[in-house]
Amino acid sequence: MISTEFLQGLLGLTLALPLLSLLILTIGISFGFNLTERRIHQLLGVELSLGLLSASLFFISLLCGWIEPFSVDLGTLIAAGSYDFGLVFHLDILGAMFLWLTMALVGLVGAFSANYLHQDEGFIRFYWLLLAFVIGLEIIATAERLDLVFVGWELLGISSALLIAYFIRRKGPVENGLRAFAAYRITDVGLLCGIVTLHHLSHTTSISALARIDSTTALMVGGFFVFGAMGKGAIVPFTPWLPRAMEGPTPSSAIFYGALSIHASPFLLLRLAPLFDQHLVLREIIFTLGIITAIHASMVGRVQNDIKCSLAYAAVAQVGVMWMFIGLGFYKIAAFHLFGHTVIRTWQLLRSPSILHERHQLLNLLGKDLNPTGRHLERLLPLSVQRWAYRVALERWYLNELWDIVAGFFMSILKTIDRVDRRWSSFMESESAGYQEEKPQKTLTGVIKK
Amino acid sequence: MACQTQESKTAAVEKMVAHCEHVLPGQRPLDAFVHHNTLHSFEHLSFEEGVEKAAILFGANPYPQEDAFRQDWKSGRIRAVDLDAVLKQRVDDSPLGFGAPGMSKRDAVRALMLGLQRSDGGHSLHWRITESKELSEFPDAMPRVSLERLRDAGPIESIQQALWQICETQCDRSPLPNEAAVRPRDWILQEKELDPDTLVHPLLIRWCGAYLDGGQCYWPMGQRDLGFFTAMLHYFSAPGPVLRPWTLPLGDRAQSIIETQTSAAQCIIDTAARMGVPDEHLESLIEKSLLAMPGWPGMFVQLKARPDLAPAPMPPTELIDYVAIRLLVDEAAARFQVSKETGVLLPPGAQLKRTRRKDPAWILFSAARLLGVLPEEAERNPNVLRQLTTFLEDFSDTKRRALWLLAYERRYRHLILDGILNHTPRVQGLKFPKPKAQIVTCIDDREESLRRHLEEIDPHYETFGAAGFYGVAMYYQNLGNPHHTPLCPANVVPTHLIKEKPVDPKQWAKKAGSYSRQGWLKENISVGQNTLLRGGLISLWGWSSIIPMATRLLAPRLYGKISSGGSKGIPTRLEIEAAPTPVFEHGFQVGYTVDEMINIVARYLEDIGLTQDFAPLVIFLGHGSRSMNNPHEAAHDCGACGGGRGGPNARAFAMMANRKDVRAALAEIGITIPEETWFIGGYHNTADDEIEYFDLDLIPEQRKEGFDAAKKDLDKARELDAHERCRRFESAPLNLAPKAALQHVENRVEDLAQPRPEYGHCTNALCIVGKRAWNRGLFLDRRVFLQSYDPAIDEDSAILERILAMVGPVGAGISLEYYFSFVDPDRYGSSTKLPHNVTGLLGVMNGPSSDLRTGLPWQMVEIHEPMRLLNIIEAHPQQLLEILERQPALKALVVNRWILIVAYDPQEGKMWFFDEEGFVPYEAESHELPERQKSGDWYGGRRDHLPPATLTSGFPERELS
Repeated sequence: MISTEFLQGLLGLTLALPLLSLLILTIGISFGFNLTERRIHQLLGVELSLGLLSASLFFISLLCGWIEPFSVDLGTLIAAGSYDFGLVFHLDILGAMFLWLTMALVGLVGAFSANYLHQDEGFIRFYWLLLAFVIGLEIIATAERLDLVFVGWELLGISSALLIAYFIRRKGPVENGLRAFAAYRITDVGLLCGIVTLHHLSHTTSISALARIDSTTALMVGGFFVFGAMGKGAIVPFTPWLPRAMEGPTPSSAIFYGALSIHASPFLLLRLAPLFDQHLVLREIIFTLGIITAIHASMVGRVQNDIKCSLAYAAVAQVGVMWMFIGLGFYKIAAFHLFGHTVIRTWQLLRSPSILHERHQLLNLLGKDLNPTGRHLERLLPLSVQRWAYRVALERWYLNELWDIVAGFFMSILKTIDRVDRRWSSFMESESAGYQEEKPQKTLTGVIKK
Repeated sequence: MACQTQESKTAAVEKMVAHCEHVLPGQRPLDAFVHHNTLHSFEHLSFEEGVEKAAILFGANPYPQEDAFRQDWKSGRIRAVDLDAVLKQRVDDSPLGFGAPGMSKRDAVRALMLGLQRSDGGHSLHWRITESKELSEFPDAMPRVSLERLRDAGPIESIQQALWQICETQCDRSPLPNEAAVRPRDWILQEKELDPDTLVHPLLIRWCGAYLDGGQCYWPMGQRDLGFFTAMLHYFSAPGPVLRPWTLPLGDRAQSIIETQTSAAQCIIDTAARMGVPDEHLESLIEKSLLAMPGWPGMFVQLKARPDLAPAPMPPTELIDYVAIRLLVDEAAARFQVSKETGVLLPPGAQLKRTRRKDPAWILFSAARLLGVLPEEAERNPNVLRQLTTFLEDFSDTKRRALWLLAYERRYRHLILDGILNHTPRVQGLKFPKPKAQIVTCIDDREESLRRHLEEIDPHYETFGAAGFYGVAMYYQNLGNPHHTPLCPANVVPTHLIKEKPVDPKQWAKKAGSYSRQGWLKENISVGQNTLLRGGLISLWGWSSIIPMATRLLAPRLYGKISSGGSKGIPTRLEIEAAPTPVFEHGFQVGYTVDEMINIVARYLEDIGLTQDFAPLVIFLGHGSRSMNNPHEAAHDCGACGGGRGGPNARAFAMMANRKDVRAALAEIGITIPEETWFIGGYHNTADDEIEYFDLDLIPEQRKEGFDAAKKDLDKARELDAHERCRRFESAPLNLAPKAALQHVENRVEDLAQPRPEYGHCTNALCIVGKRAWNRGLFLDRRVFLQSYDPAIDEDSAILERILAMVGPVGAGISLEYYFSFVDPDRYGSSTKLPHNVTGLLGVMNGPSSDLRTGLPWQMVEIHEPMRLLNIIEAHPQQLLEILERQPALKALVVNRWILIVAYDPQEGKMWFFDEEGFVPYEAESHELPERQKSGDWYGGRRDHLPPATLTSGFPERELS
């Protein structure tokens, strides 16, 4: 029997290691140390191998029942009145599984990226963000407190958005990164509201306490949480950010949007399952959102003509299925599905640049053309419906446009506020210091003679 | 009457659209990628004129940046002699007329090239003037006369301040002439700072992608056979998207077009009129609209020209359909952007303002001080600065970069030509032994090192180079493949079909069964993974793929071995002989008749000058490349096979040459192949340096030993070849042993993450047409296309003519594509490949939605030296001039200087360079050539481009007395 102290120590270490690596990397970058690609790669290699080793130990031991789920308290960060921000972690089978997936997949993708990004200007940046991502996931996998989960959730969000915007010299990636970030932020509000409400009503943010709260509170808090989980899982209507996320380099598309990042959403729901058991309506909502997403993604995915978007939608469709399972209360199946799907989708995305090669191999094996697909749709639907359905699918249910309208609405509010603010400031200040619209000086004379 | 004019109008529009094709990229679907001159449609102009015109049209770089050239100047890549020689030729020596006394125009241009500074103006310039030391010292690159003149005139700072003040006040800041607005989008962008293209492009990209899909999507777009125009109208008129108001009017418009049965051409005319574009701007409108997103319409044109190269049968792809739809959508978007106000999309006579990007004052100042203009001189005589301005226009940034390029090319030319002139007498004095085997490879630059290493290993090998389709222009269908692919130069459409057949059909039937079961499983998994139900079931077991994933990512070579180990092929033969009455399949004759074979073999052996002294073994090596993570895989294949893998061509050629009836007929025309000579076909994979040989079971018993020995030496040669290649890969340590180097490249090929499986034609710079005898043992750094040619058997230049007609355009295509993709990776190339996303199985986009990216990715060209291809031809100038007269396409390339040629007579040791005035005798600059034992002694430990050197280890021990 392994002693609890040892397990607690090991978990602490597993959590601390990526933090340490991130620190080393940050110091290295800030003080201009000679961080060669090789050294970064070695640092990550050591860190992730150790992490994978301990995660495997936890996962297997828990799975085989050699050890019981355990907690570790690393102290309190802040305490104010009735609220304290405690660094409490808890490891059970579900958490260990997610931890293992994190270590294994990030490890493999880290190895992949060393060659993929060789000599790219963003090499260090990529690995820095990858480490931030690992820390975020670790926290989500093991945190016992929801406020702690939120920290991990935010790390995940910001590192994801920055990786979508990896190619900073082009406009598209930055714009798409912003879109993803916006979707994340909107839903993060749900998570935050959920946590605050939970603390307000039941004076705790501990996950273990969720099973004990009453059903009205559960409905309210649970609603917030479901909303909070929608963004990262690209649940309808938040789906449009996902194909946009394919703007980043292939390895980050694979690990983030094919795998761990979008699966953080069903994982969060699984974590909060005791809460959903309190109120049937919550499960109904989850199921409904899941089935809509599955239908949406599967329909849209069918007409995608580029490899990365096809895979992105295929991934969301399965996330939708996982939500359905959770809605139905099949938590174990959902977890198992999550486990398998994360791996296979990462693998598919990593192979996506080699699609032409694989297609040739397949044709050679088959000795004939691939079977035509999608014929049943053509046979079943009358022509006019077909055209309509095809158009709606290709235009992705116009969800992008929906968000444009929403964004336009908020923009107009913000612009109004801005206008009022400017008037106010020019009223308050003297004339000469009046607010000037910032425009780049077009002629030199203006600059020099001022 | 009205009807008739209408008809002629639509005909005119059709003509305009056809004419606009030339601005679109000429890149084929990725599977059939073949190098071509990015600016092929500008070849009727001189190189300089062409690239500069194109630069304006596409907003691209014509030449590398001046700063890059200055780096080369500092590093010694460009030397003073080169610059002086170029200036002497291009700039006259007359006095400048202002500035430092005694300065000639030539000096002035030189000073500008070395020292002129640019600035974008604005804050950085402000800082430069007020806070940096810019005005308190002189730049390093000042000519001495100017330096002395300014220094003698007073304190540095005050002189420069005064000069700056004058330049600042007197420089010409008058606005640039306006340009007529043709596209409403440009007008709206200028006036309202809204860009309708941001609405139009995502929509068009999605629909073009759906229409041109080559088998990626599960549910293909319906009714594609109606053509893009009609199909899109039907889709647009389907129930409308409420959430996207700007496309709503499109539905009604589409409906009415369908009802009135308007043609695409008519629709273009109508839409242009509705947008307010006058008739005389119609062609310009079409051109500019195409240029706004050239990749997709370019694919329409390519697929129409060569439908056989599409990954799947394609619907009609008429460019005019695309243009009509594009304008319809353009109009809708523009209308939406201006709807709130007048509703005018493009007022009559709308003008676009143009702004200067660089600050003219700073350039003027920088030039003035370089040329030694004194402030009082400029003040006294306003003409001085005016003259200077004109001078700066005459020798603008672009013009100076053109001069730089000439100097850059000149240095390489002299290195090579001097090297050859010094090397030739050295090898001519040697008596090479009778060869024990002759190896024929493709002319490809990547084969130069393989040949060199083999010759170094043993002087008993003789090597030849020739276009790697070996005269066998065919459609080829390998065993198990449902499709046939063309294996011949890109401009040839084959008429023959060659199939690979199993030796034992029963064995194949068994194997094919197991293959198709595997294939069935793979197909179901790969298609099913992306669907809802099957995908769900598959992903329940998805965790098991962690094992192949980990193996593949952590030990790629091992994975490659495991995955290929199980599926060893079965013995096959090529079906090269046509039936007595030829059978036709898909319109192609299956197999060759004996007469055709005789022709092919005779012609080819003549081309490479192998008509006597046959060795007992003649090995023909085709080549290709296999790699992962590389949508541009076909770009690394054999260019002479149109981006295919040339193994089957070599194999077919060997089979033909081994036939008794062919040999008998050859003997009649004077090519006697001894009975003991045996031809073997092989395939060289240039990515992992593997060599595969075909039909080994047919080798006669007495040749087997010889073959084994040759194979052993070739194995050693490919190890050394891998070793030489590795010096270019940053990720391969310089101290790798040859064996480890081979493993390194084998790893690269299987590595799913490797963006640089090989460097392809990168660094290509040279082409030599002539006997190997005079360049054997010369280190040419894998930068040369080597075509064998023997002038002795070519009295009337007929052989040379057909060689040049073939090699000239192919070489030009490769070298110029690399040139342009390097010089402007964003416009001409496809930039970094990291975000590339394969779409429709025929092209790549950047990320989820972009124009089709054409040209080469940066990872393919990053170590290239942008130069025009230097062709050294073993012939006399007169002979070449006559050939050029007979070959207009070649003449255009040479006379317009898209390629450079040198005539060489190795016997006399004389060279003539084809200058702007014609052939001029070449004078060597250096009479020394480094000498080393082996290639490795010369390149070992170095990553950069290397000059030629003589390598003696392949020389026979005894010299000719």
